Amino acid sequence: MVSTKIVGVLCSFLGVFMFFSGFFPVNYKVETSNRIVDGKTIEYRSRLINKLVIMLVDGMRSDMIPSPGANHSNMPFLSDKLSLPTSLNLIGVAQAPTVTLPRLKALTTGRVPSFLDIVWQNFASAALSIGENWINIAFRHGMRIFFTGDETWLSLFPDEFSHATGTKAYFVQNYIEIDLNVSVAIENYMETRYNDWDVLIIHYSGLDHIGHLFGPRSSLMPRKLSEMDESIRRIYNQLFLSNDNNNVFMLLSDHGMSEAGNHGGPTPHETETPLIILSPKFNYSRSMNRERINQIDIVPTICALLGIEIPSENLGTLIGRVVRPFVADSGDWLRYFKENADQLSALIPNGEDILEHALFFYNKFQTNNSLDISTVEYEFIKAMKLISDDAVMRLSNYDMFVMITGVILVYTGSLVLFNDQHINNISFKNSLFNIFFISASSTALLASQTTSQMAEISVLSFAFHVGFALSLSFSFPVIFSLMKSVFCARRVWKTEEFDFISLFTIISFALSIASYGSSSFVEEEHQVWYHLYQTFNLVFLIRFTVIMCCTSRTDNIDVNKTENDVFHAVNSTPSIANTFKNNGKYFTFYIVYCAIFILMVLLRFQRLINQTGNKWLDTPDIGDWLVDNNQSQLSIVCISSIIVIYYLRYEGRYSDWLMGVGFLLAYCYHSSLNLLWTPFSVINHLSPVVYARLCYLSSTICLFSSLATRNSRDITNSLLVIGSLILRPHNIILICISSIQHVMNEQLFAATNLSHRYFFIAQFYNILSNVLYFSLGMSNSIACIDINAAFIGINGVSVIFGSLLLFIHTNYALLYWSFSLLELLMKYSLPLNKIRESFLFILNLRLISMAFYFTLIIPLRHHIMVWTVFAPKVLFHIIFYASNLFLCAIVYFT
Amino acid sequence: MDYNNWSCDNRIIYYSYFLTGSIISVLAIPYSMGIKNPLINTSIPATFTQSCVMGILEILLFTRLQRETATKSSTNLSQKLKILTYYILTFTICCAGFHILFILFGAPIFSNFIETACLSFHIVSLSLIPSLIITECYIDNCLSLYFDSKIGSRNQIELTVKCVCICGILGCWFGSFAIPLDWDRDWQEWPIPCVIGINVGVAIGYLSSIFIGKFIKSNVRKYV
Repeated sequence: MVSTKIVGVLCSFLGVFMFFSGFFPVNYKVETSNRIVDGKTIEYRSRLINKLVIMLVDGMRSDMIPSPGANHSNMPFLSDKLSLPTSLNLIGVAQAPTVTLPRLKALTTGRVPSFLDIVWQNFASAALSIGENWINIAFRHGMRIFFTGDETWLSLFPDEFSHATGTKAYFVQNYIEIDLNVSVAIENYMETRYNDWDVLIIHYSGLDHIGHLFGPRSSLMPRKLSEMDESIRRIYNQLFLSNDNNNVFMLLSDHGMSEAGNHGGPTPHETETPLIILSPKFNYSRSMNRERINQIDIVPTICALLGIEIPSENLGTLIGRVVRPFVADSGDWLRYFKENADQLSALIPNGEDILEHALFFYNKFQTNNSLDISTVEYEFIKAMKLISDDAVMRLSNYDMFVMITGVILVYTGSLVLFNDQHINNISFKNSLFNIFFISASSTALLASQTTSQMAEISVLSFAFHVGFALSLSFSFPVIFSLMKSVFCARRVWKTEEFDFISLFTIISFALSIASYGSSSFVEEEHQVWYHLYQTFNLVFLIRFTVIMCCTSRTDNIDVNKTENDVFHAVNSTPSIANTFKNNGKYFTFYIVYCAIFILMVLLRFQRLINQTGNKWLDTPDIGDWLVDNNQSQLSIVCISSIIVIYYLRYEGRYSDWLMGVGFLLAYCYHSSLNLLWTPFSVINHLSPVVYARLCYLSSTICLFSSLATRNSRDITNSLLVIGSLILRPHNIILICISSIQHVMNEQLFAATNLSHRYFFIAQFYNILSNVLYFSLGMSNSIACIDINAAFIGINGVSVIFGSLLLFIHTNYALLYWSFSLLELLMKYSLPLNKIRESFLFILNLRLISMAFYFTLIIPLRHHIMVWTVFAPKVLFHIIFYASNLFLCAIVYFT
Repeated sequence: MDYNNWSCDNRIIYYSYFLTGSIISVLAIPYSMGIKNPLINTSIPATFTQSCVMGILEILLFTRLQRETATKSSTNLSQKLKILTYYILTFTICCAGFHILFILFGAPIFSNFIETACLSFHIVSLSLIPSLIITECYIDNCLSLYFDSKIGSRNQIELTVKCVCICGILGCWFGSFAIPLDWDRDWQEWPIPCVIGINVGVAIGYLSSIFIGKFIKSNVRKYV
């Protein structure tokens, strides 16, 4: 038995891994033909400007920039400068994922970032090979680049900066000091003593931190903006002091922020960033203002200004208006376009054909000056845009073969897991094992092969293909027989009767996976889960009524036996309601009905707390209301929900006291951050880190005591404590609601005779975990991962603890409900193998929904929303799969 | 369940065809004539009118059927008034119950009150009125009709009533799945998808009851 399970799990794991590697090509490279940088092309290239200051304000949204000449803005200096013709005020559109590291790579290399860059953001930024970029090209040309600000740059460019002052980036709760340090460094660099730089890069990250902590509408935001304005004023005054018209100042941002203050997604709030360029040489009317350009267009522009070659993988196109005032000769001017166009056309196979037309005009212009320069310019821009779009399309280069085999493996794995109990034939099992082992290993080998070179036909690859085909054809009969047994759904539910509840469980699961077919249901997945859960409540109600009616009928059996027409029985026999009354069931009748009603009201309340998804994300919710200036209400809500949780979980054991202490510490942590009201200001003298660590300590002791006493209740308790610490304070009420739901569900299962049906309970808890996940404000967008959670109770950066905390925070709902399920099943004193089976069942549900989702992804891979909607969901699926696997491992090995 | 005493009044089948036809015509005729469907484009008044008309039709038809099976017909006027108030009260309670249910399922709580009320009026008058009339608004009759797995439906009328009620509610349930889609069509406004779902569901309910009844009848004939 165990070996079949292992085959199933391994097979599906391999499948998931293969799909992942095929869908997210980790090391993608644009195919570049060797570019010839010969002497001819270099000779016209000259440096156009003396000094370039690039000021990057992390997380600044384009609507934070004041309108030119506004009277009461947070940035009076900037708004004053923007009203002059010496400024260019554009909007740079960033590509998702709108996260700092991928955006920095995009701003230096001109490449569109790969989706997986976000995954490595926290972990491996030091080991990144960034590829050719304008900073190291400028370095090669002997320019002196100074840098101050976020340390991410230093890990990306360890050698390139002549002088650098880094600030610790990842301690989000610090939003004052880091920027002060940067400003001090700027003062130093602007002084004449150190004034020998060519490029100065400044990265302020305080604004982003404020956004993460308090959102863009926070009262701290105007202060931060005026601080930025002050910094701009100083730099501007020093930079243009000597009336040096050849200096340029740029204000950029890597990404914006959503209304919740997070970023990572594709919404306009997150992608539209300011792009302001100041130079005394400009003379532009304000009608050009706020034009939307691609953010990576800044790369060839900077290269032209500095007189260096464009990074080979750049996809940006030159912003003519920035460079034009510095170029005297119109013949030279067109060469900048030609260089950019040549560089771009090398990126794609048919680039030269696209460019042909523009080159024709260019040559014509060279020979005969009568042609209008703007016509040639226009032709170049048109061709460059075409090439750039084409190249972006080509970047999403999937390994179809690996993806499809991955999906097949996931399906077969889940089939094997499903049929686990029904395979009794030993020889069949052995052949199964062999076949899957062969197919798995050969596909793994193939995977590693095809990712490098698919087109090349060698003897080895041919052998692999044949091996794969053979093993697949051998395994087909097995797969087929497995499928046949799955379609007899009764066998899956063998241990239980197949009735209304089982049918609805299957329908609910089928609906939840069918909804993945629409991109809007991937965005609004929470609606499906809320709907299904509410319907489950109704199903309980119906089932309970049916049970009550049947029992009352058996009570009245002697009366009703002779009565054919029940409608006439009203007056002659005791009615159903009366039977309840007589048997003392009336009371339970109403109690259960009230309980179901309360559960439904609780869910309705739960979905009001955090709006999530995409369509209704910005509608005001209770969470917003509590967080915005309602500290006392928030404190009351927190205290009362902690009391309710404690009351529900208290059993009088010593570990329960420990849990109480943990809750107190968590409250103190939030109050010492000034998020909650506190009766004693003494509490706030201790640093939040101390409270958080004490809280971790108490929950860890809870966890270990559960290992000692083998009582799963303590695991849930310690999870509750951790949840009250790492979740936002207003989300504590959601943990409270979940505890209530847990207690009431247990009673409901007893009232509706469902407590022995562990498959149903498993699927029901699966639904509940999804409900909690989405009501916590999470969604299928990268932006909902709260980086803030990785810094609770940690000084500085800790990769291991930080990622552990982030993992717990993201998977909190799943972990909580799985351990509640474990607690419930242990309370029913189910045998261990049944518990294991039900956890395996949950894993299998995840596998099936994943496999189905992957199958949908394959034809939808060129869908317009694939990187913004579908791909993040793949990532979330894999995260949840990992935690399901982890939970299964826990249940199996303890 | 045994269907040995299965009785089928032919009128109920004609009524079912008639009511299905009227619902389908409301949904389909405006399209065939090339005009905008008021039910889909201007929702509230049109829905309200439709539910009123359908409700009155159902009341008229089902009371005719009911009158013959009823326990006693009172001629007394005050008795009649009493019964009428009882019916109206039950109807209102059902509407309120469905209104609360819709809110629990995620309808806006305070805003869109009229829309939600209109939807609950619609569902009650389309799919619940037949059951209310047949069961004479007695809770016991309701319970034994819907929840007693040992009795089930014993004649075509009960079957029709049951099918219509269940299919109407299921139609509403499935209709709501169209709301979160990001197509931004005007028919995605609350509560239009649910209204259409109810209409389609009730029509399917009437039709399916006819065929299920035929199936049962043929089986009874075969085995008895």
